[in-house]
Amino acid sequence: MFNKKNTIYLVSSILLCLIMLASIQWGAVSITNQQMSDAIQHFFQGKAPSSIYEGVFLQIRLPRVLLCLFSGAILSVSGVFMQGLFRNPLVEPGIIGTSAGAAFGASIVFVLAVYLPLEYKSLVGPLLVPLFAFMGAILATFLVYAVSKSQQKTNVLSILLVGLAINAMGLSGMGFMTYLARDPQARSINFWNLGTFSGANWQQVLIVMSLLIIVIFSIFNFIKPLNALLLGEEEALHLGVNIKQFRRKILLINTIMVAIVTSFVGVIGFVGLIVPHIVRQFVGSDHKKILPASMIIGAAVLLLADLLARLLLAPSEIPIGIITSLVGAPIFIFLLKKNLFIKSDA
Amino acid sequence: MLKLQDIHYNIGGKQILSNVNVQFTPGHLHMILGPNGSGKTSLMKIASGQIEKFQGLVSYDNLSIKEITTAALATYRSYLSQQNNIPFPIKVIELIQMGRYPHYEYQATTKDYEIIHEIIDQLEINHLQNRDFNTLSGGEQQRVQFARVLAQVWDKTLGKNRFLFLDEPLNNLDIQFQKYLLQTIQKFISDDMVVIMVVHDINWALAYADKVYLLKEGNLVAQGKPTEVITSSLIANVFNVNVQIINIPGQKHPIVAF
Repeated sequence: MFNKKNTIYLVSSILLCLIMLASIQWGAVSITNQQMSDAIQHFFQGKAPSSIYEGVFLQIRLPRVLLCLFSGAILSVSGVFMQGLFRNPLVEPGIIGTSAGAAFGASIVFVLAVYLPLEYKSLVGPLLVPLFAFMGAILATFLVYAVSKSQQKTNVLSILLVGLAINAMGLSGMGFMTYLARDPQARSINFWNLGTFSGANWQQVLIVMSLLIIVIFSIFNFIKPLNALLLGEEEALHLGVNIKQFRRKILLINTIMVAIVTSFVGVIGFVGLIVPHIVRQFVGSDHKKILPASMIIGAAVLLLADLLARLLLAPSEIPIGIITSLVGAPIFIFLLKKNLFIKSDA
Repeated sequence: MLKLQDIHYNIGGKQILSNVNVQFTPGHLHMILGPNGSGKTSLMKIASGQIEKFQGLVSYDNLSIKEITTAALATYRSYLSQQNNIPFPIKVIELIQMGRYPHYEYQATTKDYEIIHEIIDQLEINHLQNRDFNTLSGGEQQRVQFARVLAQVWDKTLGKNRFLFLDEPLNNLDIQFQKYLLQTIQKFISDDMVVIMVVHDINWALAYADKVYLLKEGNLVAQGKPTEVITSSLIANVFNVNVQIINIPGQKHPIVAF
């Protein structure tokens, strides 16, 4: 009944559920199955949590796990989108500077919001942060894209070098904001450089979940163009893909994805690189299979990284970006060695 | 019929094509010859809808190309380019299936699969089906890409003329398969099919073309039947090479010696 193709979905889904369960139960405070079911029962009966454990489960652990799950899926899909668009297995939002751009945009709001008149302050968090993150991300994306298109023949190296420069720009921008900031904010910006899920709340979960649902529905229209792009931009055009329109659409949705996730949890590098790479080993290059598998495996990978971030030095926490970079960088070097001399476009 | 009227095209002030007028008629194999940089590929790209910024008129069956959407055009026009670089591993069968993309929304139909398998049989590439495209030899890759573009315009029941562009499809092929490919193309040409092809080997043009076009520095110097266009004086004029056209007794067509 299960062929090889379905096995990957089955195995990764089971794995995801196990990691999710572990992520909910393990941590600075351990939560038992009994406490979990009590908390859910009490929640649906409209009663207040009967113990501190139920409170931790409902207000801290569960939103954190869900935010991490959805963010992992989104960052991985973003990696797939960018690799497809640039025709290059080495790009992802962390590496080519999209995330750094988003983080810089968001840090501007964080620091300068202090100077806003009081009556606007309630608007600041939910609206301005993602908006500025979006502007930073889109600027970074267009810089990379413009450079990669300005030459007749783009090679992998030039995209990566531009990404490096944009990352440095984003980082120095954030550094400057840290310098301007008053102390508590400065610490939160620093933490953000490396990403963290420690501030997760239900509002963020709902926003990221809605985003993921929109992405899932729009994916159906991206499968054929992304596959056709494997052959080259000209080939995709001859296969009926309106390349200009498609490029605008996918860049827009990708930038929104990266901006929202980054404005909530900071820069988490390499997930968008590692996950599609793993997925391709199992399902090949058809985006009909790559996209759903990347979501499941991306969610599992990021949850695992977050679990490690919480457990390695428990009860204190390591920023999750340290874990993902530690694992991702060697894979990046391996891929770099394999792909550096492939020309990414004709 | 594919008509090009008064085509002018320049990039950054440099004239690539000037005043080109051609009619590519259905049922024929059209071959474009010319030295490097004479505008052959630009002509193919303008005629196929890839280059949009040109002066003049391109029309498919009396409909201007500007009024045809990218998606609609793709159902009856396909294009084999010279680029074979695919940065990710991809199965041959998946690649060929992409040729049917313009014809279905989300899920390939039985008819699409029938067409794919018919072409795989005809081109004798059954043994390559499950291989990774990037592990194939240059010649095998070329055959697989040819199968893909053929799949795109395979359907005779469209009720429309079909257009197949081949930009130097004989590159990377040994002479056995060059001949095989040309014979295959000849076999597939029906009354509703226009095949336009760029070639370098003048002898193949003499042997297989129905019509030959000579380009020099963006100008269409001559067009017509192979034996009318491929003369020693025209070839000397266009390619700067002195050649002899030799008739071999018992052969249908002459050969070029240089």
